[in-house]
Amino acid sequence: MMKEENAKGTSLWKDAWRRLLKNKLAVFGMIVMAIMIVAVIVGPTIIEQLTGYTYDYMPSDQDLIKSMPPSLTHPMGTDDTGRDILARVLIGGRISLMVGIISTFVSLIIGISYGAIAGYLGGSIDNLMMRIVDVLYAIPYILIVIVLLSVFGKSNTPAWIKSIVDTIGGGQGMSQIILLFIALGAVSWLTMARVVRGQVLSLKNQEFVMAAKATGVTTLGIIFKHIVPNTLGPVIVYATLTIPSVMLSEAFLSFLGIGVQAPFASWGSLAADGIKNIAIFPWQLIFPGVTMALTLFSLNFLGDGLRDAIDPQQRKF
Amino acid sequence: MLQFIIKRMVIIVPMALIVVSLTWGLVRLAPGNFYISEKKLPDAIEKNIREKYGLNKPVSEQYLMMMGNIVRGDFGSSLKYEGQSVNEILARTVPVSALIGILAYLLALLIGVTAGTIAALRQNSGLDYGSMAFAMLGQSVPNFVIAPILVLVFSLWLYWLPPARWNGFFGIANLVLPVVTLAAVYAAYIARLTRAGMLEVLRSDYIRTARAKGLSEWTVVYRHALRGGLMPVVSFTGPALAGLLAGTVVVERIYALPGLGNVFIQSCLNRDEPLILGVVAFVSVLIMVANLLVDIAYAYLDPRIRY
Amino acid sequence: MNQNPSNRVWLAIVLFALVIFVAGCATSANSRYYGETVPPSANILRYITGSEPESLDPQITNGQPEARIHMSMFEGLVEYDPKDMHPIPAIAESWEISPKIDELIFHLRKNARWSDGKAITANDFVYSFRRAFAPETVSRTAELGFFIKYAQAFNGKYVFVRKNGEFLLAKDFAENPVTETTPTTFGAETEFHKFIKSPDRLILNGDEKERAKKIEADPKLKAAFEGAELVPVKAEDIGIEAIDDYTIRITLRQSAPFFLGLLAHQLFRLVPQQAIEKHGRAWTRPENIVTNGAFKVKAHRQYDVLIVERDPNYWDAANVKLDGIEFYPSDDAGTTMNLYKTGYIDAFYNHVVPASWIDDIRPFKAEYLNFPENNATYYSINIKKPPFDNLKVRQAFNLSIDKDLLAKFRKIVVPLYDLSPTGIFPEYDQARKSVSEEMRQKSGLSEAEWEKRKKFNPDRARQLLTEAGFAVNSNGGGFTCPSFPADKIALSYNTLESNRQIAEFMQAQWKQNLGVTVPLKNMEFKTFQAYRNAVEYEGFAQFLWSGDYVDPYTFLGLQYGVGNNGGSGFADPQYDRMLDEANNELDTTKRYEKLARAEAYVMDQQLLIPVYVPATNWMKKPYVKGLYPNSGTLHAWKYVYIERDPAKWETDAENIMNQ
Repeated sequence: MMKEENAKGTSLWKDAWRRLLKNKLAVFGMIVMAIMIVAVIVGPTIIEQLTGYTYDYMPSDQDLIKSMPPSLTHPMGTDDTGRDILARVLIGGRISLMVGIISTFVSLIIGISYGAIAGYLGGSIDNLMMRIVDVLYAIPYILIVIVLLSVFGKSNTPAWIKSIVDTIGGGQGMSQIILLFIALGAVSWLTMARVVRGQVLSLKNQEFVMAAKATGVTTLGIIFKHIVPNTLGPVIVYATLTIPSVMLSEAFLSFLGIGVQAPFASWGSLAADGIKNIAIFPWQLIFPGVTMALTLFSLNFLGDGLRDAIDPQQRKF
Repeated sequence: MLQFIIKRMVIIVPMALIVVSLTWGLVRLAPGNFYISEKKLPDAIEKNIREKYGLNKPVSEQYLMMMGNIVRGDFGSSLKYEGQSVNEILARTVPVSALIGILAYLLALLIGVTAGTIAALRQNSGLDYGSMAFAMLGQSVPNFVIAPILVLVFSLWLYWLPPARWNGFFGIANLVLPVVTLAAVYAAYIARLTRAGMLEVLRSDYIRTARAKGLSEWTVVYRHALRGGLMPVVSFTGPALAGLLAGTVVVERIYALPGLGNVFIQSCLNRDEPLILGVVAFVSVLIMVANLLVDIAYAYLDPRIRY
Repeated sequence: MNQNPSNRVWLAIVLFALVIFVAGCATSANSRYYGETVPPSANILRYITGSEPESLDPQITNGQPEARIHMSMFEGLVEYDPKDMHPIPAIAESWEISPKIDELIFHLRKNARWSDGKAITANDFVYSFRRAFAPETVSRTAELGFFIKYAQAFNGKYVFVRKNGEFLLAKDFAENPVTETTPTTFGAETEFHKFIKSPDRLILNGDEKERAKKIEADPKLKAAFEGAELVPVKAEDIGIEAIDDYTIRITLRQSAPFFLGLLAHQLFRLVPQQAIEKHGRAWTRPENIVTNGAFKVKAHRQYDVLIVERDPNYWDAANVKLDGIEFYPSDDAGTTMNLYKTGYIDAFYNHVVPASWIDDIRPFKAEYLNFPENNATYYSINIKKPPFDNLKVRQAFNLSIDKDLLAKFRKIVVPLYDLSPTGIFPEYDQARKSVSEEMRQKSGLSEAEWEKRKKFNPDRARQLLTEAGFAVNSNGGGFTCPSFPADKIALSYNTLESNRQIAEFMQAQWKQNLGVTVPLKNMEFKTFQAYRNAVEYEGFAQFLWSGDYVDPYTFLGLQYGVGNNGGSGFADPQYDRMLDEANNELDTTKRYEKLARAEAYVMDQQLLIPVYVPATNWMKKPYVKGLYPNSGTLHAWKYVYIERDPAKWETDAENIMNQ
């Protein structure tokens, strides 16, 4: 479908968009995601304006430092230290979505370049590169994350991370979050590389590639100017599905205690805190858990819908 | 084809060794070691420990010794758990993970195939949307959210089932919650695969022929459509089972089960090098074999693929 | 069927949430006991003791979870009293202590046997002690026994120096002249005793480079070393001796009044020579292990269960009440609490009940045990790196924390203002009080002023920080301290929710009272320990210390020598001298006063911020009896039993220690 010329491609994208809008579940997913993104961007500020609660505001009154069930002032209740769970879920969502999106972006960059090069060059280079992917697949990513976080997480935070943190604020907690983005991105590009390689394999013998070769475009030029743009369809689909899986990985790391730094939170770390208290304060798990599930739910629907819309023939996965 | 299989089989061993080497490097890069704890050890005692476990030797020598042992199939003894060999730990934990994994997969097949088939037969109906939404829900709720909620309801409120722990291979009550938790994700996935596969098959000519012949709907679906429609599920089974055999960390941790996943995470946190390497070697071979099987299955199922 | 599917999804979610809420609100049932309370059908206690034991070998492990397990299967000379943890007779029936408290003689009971039926004799103890210090045993806790003469030298592979047939003596090379004491006799005189009581031999490092360095630095030593030969310190040289089959004598290198109490520690529990020599490292496997305690190992499945059963060969088997114990490994508070509530376990270890649950758990008076612990939590300060190389800065950070408020917030903790906890060592508390009073009179402060000196005092804290060159400005309701390099420091701790909550509290206090926002840094456990022990951290690092024995020295000794157990990078010969002097003091009151002076001395340097003394904070079902909340949560299992008669069940655990 996507193999044809660019002129026709535009109408194809339009077509895909039309098909997407027909898919009610995908539209539902899109709406929820839009709401979620707006909520995590402006939500914390609104809550602060309305009620004065921030994600790290701890009441000074001793009697309030405890986990209270949902009420009008705290729609999702409070956590062990009396902090508003709604505010924390919103800020946690900001970090979880950021982890999902940025890490997916990192994995896109690595995965596309790697997969495209392997697929285009083919032969023994392809074989070698794919075996490297196989090897990396088998290495426990928890070890990779521990090493990355500890090697860079100590006093020797790289200067460029420091400069990012200086501009966006958040101190050391933020620099660990950035490291987390990188670490998760660095381990989640493998499948992306496989997907891209598969696409490139089927594209590289097409006429337009031959034509480009004949006109003397360099190998890199062919890969990145001619082939990669044509793999975007499946890549976008796959990226939509990578976001939830990266978010789950982050949540899993937080569950093991190797995630974001206090007082920041992510949905995963909030849920991990809630698990322990499930017997007494179920709201501590239910709200972050349900919010996270809803988001993943929407993202999965959106990804499915996108796939159906872009490539209706390929319904295998 | 045979040549391809042999080639891939031969390459598994060196690849597993590379995986082990890289993992070894990571363990060595990670700060801390197996004996460090809250109480700082006097230098002399630390020196004794390093001598006993050969940590005072040159790193290259340690690496070669480690590789030599692994090539001979001897993963050595756990450093953290004195006196237990890695092979023995694997032999004890893999069956636990395998039992839970296989039960969960069977349950997932039952639910997933049923839901997927119904959804495909009633495409675009409420039933279709409902079951697919439910499947998506199963796939979207992380299992560390499902698990505690199941515990809350069935253990803490109703007192029907134990909230955690293993009670032998026949301790059925202890198996229910972990199996259900684990099955949820797979059931969702299988339901979606089944639906997609069935839809494709139901549109095909031979089904139309079967229907035209006036066969009952049941026969059409059960005899003819399911066989073709389940192909994607079959190819999914390989890697899924490999993953399940390798243990699922979250479920094993939440339910305190003595499976491979739980032991593996602990060994990483304990920096128990021989155990980490043993598990990684085992799991990587498992995954690579599963991937090979999938490739073979693809080639077998789809004559267009040639190696 | 043409409904919008998203409506159904929403409906499902809303319904689900509703169900959870309704059920959640209905849970606060007014029951006397927490959850399922039915005694187990078998006479077997089910207990959660913490994480999976590293080994069943008592001489290797160093953790509390293991210590509790060892106590079921191994005995030593003495055992911890189930209530106050003072030493009570175990395999030793009785003992004598030399007037200088540097020698102990134990008389063993004659009916003690191993689980394989073999009689236990003095030689078993000699073997055990020698093995504990053998370098190849790699005991993590060998340090506890370094008071035994030459034990440290043996463990560290040191050497004696012999010249012309005579060993060189330590006193001839000592920096400070040693006061000669006449050797005393205590117990039967033997060849070995003559050797062990002879003046201390000179000990040099076994490592050639290290040794050469020391010799080069000391011309006198260098001269003496010419033509001398080196004799490695052997197992046979350490200060333990079998006088006869049922009498052993332990000789210490110096007076150590707390040493008897230490002997119940797992390091000194008896290990079986017959099994170790036969099976080597595999001796702890269930099929090989030989034990000598009230229970013997029946099965051990890692991460699953360790089952011990009553041992008929145990000398006191008639008084062992349980048929067995099942130890389950779990270090997860949620899992443990869930298993307890649903009645799958009967009791669990200390510090498990999450702080936030206390209000809900405390009403279950028959089950909740909240007693003081031989434990302390500090924040170590890295005194080597600025700005904390400045005493005033350290003091300012200490004084700006309202520890009483913290104790109220954590509900189960007692604020800590010193190095060692209060309420655990009553006599020491007395001594500390009188020393403090004496110091107050010297300082001329009023009692109230003196009292306030260590307590929360934000004004003084701000003043100190300003004096140190970091001006604290008031702005509106709060304070700012713009010149303080807050981004250069951090408060590090290992990832654990309770650690994080305390760290967050501290952070809030400093922000509120000093205007300094200290960044928090959590790390995975092993990463953190490596970081802390190497004193690589900047600012503060959390430090939990549980006492190894019931004596304040277990806390004061942290800052002793150059070992840097306190994690601050502190070493002060003056402090070491004060502690040595105190330990050489035979009169208990005077010794405690000397220790108290040393403690005051080291606290003046503010190497750390004392935070709190934790409480035992564990639970047991009301039908579990004979299990007491002692200060180390170490239980002599033979006294534990399951009470089947509900009329005799525990009603109020507050009085449990007076039963």
